[in-house]
Amino acid sequence: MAKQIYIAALNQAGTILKVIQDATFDSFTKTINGGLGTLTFTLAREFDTFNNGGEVSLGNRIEVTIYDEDTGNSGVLIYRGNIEQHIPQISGGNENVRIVCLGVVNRLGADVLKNAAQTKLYTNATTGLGTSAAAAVEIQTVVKAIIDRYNIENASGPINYSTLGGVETVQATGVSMNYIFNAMTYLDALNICRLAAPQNWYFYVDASGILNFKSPPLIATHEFVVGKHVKSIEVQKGLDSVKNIFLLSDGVSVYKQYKDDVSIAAYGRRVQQQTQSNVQDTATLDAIGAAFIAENKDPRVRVELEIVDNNEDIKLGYDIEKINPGDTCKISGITYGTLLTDNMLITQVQYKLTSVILTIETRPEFDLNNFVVKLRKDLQQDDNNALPSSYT
Amino acid sequence: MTSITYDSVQLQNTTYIPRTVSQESAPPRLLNLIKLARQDGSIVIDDTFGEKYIEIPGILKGTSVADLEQKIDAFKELISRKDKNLDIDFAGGTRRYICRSVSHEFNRDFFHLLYVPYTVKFFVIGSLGMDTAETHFITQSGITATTTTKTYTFAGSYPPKPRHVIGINTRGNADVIRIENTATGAFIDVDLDDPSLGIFQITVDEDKQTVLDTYTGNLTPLNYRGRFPSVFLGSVQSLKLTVIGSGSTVDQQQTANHGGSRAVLGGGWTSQSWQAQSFILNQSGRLHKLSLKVDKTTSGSLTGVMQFIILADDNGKPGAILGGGLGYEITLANVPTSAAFTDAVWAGTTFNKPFLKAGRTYWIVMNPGVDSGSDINNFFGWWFDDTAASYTKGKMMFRKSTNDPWQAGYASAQVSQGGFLSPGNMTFIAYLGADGGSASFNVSWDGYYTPKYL
Repeated sequence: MAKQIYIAALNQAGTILKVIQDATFDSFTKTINGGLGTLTFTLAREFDTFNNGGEVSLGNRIEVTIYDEDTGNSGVLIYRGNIEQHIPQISGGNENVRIVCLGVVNRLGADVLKNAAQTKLYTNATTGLGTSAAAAVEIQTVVKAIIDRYNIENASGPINYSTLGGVETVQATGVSMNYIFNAMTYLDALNICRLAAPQNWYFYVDASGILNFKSPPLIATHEFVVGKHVKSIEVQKGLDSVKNIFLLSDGVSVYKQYKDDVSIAAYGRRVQQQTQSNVQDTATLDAIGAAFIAENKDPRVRVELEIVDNNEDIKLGYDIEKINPGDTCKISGITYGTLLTDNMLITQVQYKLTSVILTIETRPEFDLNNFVVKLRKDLQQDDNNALPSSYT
Repeated sequence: MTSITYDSVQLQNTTYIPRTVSQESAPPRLLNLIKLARQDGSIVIDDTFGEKYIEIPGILKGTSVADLEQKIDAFKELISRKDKNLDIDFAGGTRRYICRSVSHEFNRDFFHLLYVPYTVKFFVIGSLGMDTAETHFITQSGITATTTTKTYTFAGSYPPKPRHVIGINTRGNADVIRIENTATGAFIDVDLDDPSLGIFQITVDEDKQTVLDTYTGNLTPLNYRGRFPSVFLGSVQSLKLTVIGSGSTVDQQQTANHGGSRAVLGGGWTSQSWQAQSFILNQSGRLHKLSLKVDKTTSGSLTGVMQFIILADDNGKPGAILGGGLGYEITLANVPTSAAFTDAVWAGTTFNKPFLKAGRTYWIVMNPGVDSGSDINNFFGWWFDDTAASYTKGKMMFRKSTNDPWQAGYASAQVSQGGFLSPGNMTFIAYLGADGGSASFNVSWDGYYTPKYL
């Protein structure tokens, strides 16, 4: 059965306005510690009449559902986002309209974590987040409280976590944190929780708007076979982002070193310094320090893998709609020595209708631009620490 | 060929004299191939048809030089019209192509005074030809049965995209209209979720990919799920119309009672606790009734009813009340003194029952505000299972009062905190059916399609 793509435009209440038939798109990306990225689709419509029906108005919801041999009649929702931009254009004989959508996770970065007018919130042993007196609490409780606050402060949602059937999409880490969230976005607050969690814990908001906060599986979710599923594979291994000494301060009186001697002996001293002025106790500082060293002491291995869809061929290709960031994989049919392992974390999935390009990394690549942006955010956070607790 | 017209202008005459019309060739097939690593050959990822063009070479004749010049201009104007019908006599009928010209050439030499050779090249919109009229392949009125099946073999050389028109003459207890191709299993469900819709008309158009209320000129989109029931060529296939909403069928249930416990409920006690249980239906529609494992303990002061209202979901907890505040009720007399599954029936009319949509979370909530006289000897019990896995599509929650937050667990009106934290699910059986009765609707079903050709 040929793959069928339904692009539905809905209003904010979730009522289908129209199935858009004249749209094409190339790809979108799903990223770990985030969610669905930007989807840009092109409409074969004229500059001045493209939204006469109102279905592609700014703020409307877009859902992309795939029906193929694997999904049957129920289909699988692969993208949900909101229309953020219209780009109608005329260039010589070409005329079309680009519609830019952002995944729902973008909403978490667009608003500040708050309780009514108070933007300075404290970890709370009972409720996860409180308006005074920070105390240590299991990270799972804090993450759920962040999402609960988001839903209280944002009527349109819809981002949630699930506990149905006893299966928690936000899992217990076994680690507590004691922290002050001071005028942070919800997304930054989730990142702080991730940093405090053990090595390689991640979060991901899927197409249904469900937040997953968990550790990677211990057994590979997917097995990709060279000669059956794989179009291309490229592996990079390097030392450029190894950090085996972490100097971490709370900005007041605590200044600690976290290190890995094996990594230092192999690769020399490679130091990272950071100040976390919102950390309230040494235990939380230690958790952040230990997780950082564990994630950064070894050479980065980055794999880029293109997996082909199985739709028109029953023997070859893979059900690409099943692959998500946070899944793990192994690669069979090739000998790779110590470069690759039997359970590697998928950090990014670039989805195209005919294949997916997977990024598999031990940790994010050291990128100078990202490092500078993060420095700016750290400076902004230091400025935020001087803010009053509430706005008026 | 006895007739070739473009935009109703005849070309098969002594003026235009077409030599050939190259309509027979199929459009090119576009295979998207990907070569796998270390694998011979390539695999097909995508398979579609490309553009179809039709060329018409011929001779244009005039009665004089001036007349020929005028005819050239008129001909160019005719061919320049966009998206018009190119109708060609074919095999005893007429084959239609909706076209737009991409070139119109005149190969004129010095001696072409009273005639000139020309070639028109048309681009075929959609790359397909079609019959000039729709085929009305299903005509069925006065349908009162829950399922109606029609078999048909579709004509053409390319799978058509049918249009189904369902007339709702009497709504009765019809909640969902399903159209299915039983050979492929593909079906579409259209929700009749607006109770104010009495007599109306649904049009399911696969070609336009729309599902609309088309009664008296309306073009209002309707909610639907699934996919259009596409058809194929070459063999007979069955299309089935199912009207869902009559009868009373179990859609969701949780009947376990692990832990042997109950929520203790009642108005006017230490806490006026609320108890809730979420669920997700497999099929849309109205609930005929609920059945819940309940009991009562009474020494005579307990009054009122056990009322179970339906609420929408608000990000994982009970939200807005549906059904105008009415609910499914068990009268005091019908609540057993020994725990048993007992039917709760709708207190209003079928018309104001909430319409629930498949795949969405809803909540059954016991309202303590409609009973009173509770104390240690007078209370209601709603039994539950204390394992989360007992019902994977929901969970139980309670709150101490309307001013308190919902928490996962079971209610106890006996204690000041209103209940106890616990995983688990309340017992319930949700019966789907607008009124629990036999089919009371009357619908008609008309199917149309236009044969398509490569």
